[in-house]
Amino acid sequence: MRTLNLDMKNPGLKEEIEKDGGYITGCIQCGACMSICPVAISGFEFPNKRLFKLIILELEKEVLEHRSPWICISCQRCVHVCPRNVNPHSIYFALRRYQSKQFKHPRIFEDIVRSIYQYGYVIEPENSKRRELNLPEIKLDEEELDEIRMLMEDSRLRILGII
Amino acid sequence: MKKGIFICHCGTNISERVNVERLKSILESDGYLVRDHLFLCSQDAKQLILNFQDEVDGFVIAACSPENHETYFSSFIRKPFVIVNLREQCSWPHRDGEHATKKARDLIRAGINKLSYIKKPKTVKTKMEESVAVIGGGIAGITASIELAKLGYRVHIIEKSPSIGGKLLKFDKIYPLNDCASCVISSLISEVSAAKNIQIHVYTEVEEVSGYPGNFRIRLRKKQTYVDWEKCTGCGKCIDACPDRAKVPSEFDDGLTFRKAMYIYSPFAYPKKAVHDPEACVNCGKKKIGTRRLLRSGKEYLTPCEKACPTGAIDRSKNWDPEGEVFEIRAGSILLAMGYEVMSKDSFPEFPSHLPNVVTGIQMERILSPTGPTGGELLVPETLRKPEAISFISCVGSRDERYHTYCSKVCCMYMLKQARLIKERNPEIDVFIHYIDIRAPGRDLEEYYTLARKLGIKILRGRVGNVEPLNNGKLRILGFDSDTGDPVEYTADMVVLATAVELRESERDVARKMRLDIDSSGFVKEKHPKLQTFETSIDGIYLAGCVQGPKDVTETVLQAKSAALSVSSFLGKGEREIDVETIIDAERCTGCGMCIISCPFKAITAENDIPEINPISCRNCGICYSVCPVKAVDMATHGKAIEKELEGLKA
Repeated sequence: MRTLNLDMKNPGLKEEIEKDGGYITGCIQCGACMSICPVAISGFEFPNKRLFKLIILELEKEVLEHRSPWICISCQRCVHVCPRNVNPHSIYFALRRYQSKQFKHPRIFEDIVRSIYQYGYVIEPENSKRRELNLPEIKLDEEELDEIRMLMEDSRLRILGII
Repeated sequence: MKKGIFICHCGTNISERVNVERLKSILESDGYLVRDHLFLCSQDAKQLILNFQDEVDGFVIAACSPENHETYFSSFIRKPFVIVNLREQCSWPHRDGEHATKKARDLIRAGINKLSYIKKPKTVKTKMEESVAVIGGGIAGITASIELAKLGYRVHIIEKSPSIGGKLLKFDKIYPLNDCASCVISSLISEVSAAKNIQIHVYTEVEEVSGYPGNFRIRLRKKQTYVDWEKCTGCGKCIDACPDRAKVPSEFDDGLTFRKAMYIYSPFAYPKKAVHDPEACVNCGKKKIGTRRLLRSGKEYLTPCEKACPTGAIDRSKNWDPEGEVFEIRAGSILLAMGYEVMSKDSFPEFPSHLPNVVTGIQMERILSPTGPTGGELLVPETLRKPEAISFISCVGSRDERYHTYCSKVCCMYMLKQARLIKERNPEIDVFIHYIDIRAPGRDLEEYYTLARKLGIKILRGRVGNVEPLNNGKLRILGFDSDTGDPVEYTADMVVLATAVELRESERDVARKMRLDIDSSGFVKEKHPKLQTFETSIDGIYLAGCVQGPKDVTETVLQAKSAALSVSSFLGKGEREIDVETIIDAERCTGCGMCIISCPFKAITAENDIPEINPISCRNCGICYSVCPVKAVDMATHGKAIEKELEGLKA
């Protein structure tokens, strides 16, 4: 545990995230979102409500370092249980974008994106090993792969220099 | 004919511990006629009791406390009866059914024993005064007075300070609508001032209360002002003449500013009259109070304030009379509406309360008010600069075993209100609220709280442990946020302490003068926490507002209007029936006078050596009964009858 210094704030942080993720000041820290979150229930450290409080307190450094938005599996259960019309799911995704813009995302996601760009798959298909085991080769046809690449080149990933 | 017993099961309240069937068979074998019913207070039981009383000479009702239904039973039972309490005094306090049944049997046998000795008390009628004394001229007292005046009663408002209006005049806005507080109260003040049957006594304190319900006599003391209020026009010229060094902390600004020895209480003062405070006076004219000085020309020498007054209303040659003007008023009923005080910040050394930038909630109200020291502009008291961050700390002295265990109820809402006023006017100021629990029940209050959150007010759950003064005049707040689970710290320019709402000792003294009860929280106790929330243990005396416990304006007005209605239903009949319990047997009396000196209500007087009881003052306490050496005093239901009841218990 460490002391949060509330003076070290970025006054625009909350508005910036609300622009993308929707209303957040309504959060009353009830924790309903955590009670049904499959990631939290299965034991991963996924303290949604702490994250929301940090946004309300405009503590940018802590928000940027927080890894939990990346564990979200988009099940949307939190959206249905929130009594205050906060949309936790859209806030996690707003945070993913906010962190990426400042290169504060986990590095592994860059490898994943590059693999998709190169092969069309999250992980590089190891076709030489598959051949040894007499398994069919996994490969997208060039036309499909071009379409994926075109979509990705059109996105911010190019601007950020990830692909 | 014989004696009977009617046992109530009270649903299962009595029968779950007391074995009613066994009890019945025991008592029947004693030779009594016994009946039972699930609810004796029900309508179908009424008919059964009516039939039952024809079969017996007298009977015992074994049910709940007589406090609950004695009046109801006496309304239709014509035979002598005694109520034995099997619920509060038997089934509820005992766990063991065997034991409870035995105790029930003993209590009923004692009641049967008492039955033969009870007499019907005599009833006398007394006329009541058609006037009401309202003590306290704040929103509670003013609202109640208006209602009572409309109902046709003559009302005396007794106010300690030199002006009516109370705390509400100090506030800028009030929740939940954020409407102007002084507009709310000043319209009521004009109504009171215009009402013909309301008399306002300001700068007046209660000295003594005597008399009895329907005919109270209240001795009042009006403090000396040295200003003839008949002549004073409230122009304020004497205040300009009064020197700056004659200054004391202002009551209206809660010590944030100073007022002079000559002053008008507030910009809203009603009556708008000047007051001279001899304790603050510096005798600038070299003329001591109570003396005269003649000039060589033979003319009288005048002090600056006397000279400044265009109407010649000020006369400091009058002797200082600490007694003031003592006079008496009569009232049929009294309404206590004395209001609260917040704890002083000095009681809390953990916050550097000696610093000017640490203020109480009421002082913050003054800072935000357009009539306050900064004209409503939010400035830090010490530097008079605009603050960058303000910290509110809740529950200071409330919900704290070291001070008051109760919740002051209004602090959460007024902190949110002040925070909102600050944030709405200055969005760039960072506002923090540290709370234990936010308590915002009531119409529109939760929505008010949600709006405060939307405005970006930072609300942290957890207490502040320390506030450190920094070299640059700012304050370092060390707190805790239980939402993140982390300690927090930040710098603020000002700290607002929501100190506890409490009743002043002097207000409690007024209540004690009327022999009212004070509860463990230090407020005046009501008769019943749910059913009689503004009645007191003494008939004819009622409560309104914070004298009974912390309340907001909405609740205070609600209670004041309800109390006014109660006063009216008490006085409305014009006369009152009183049961005379205590009787003195003149033949037995030896004239020793013991009863006269021991009566706490001065109800016994002796003319020609024969003591006589004034039935109206008598409270049936029974002290005279127990001190009489020759047993010449008896009471209709509480004298020998109780001795017999005790004998029955022993048997």
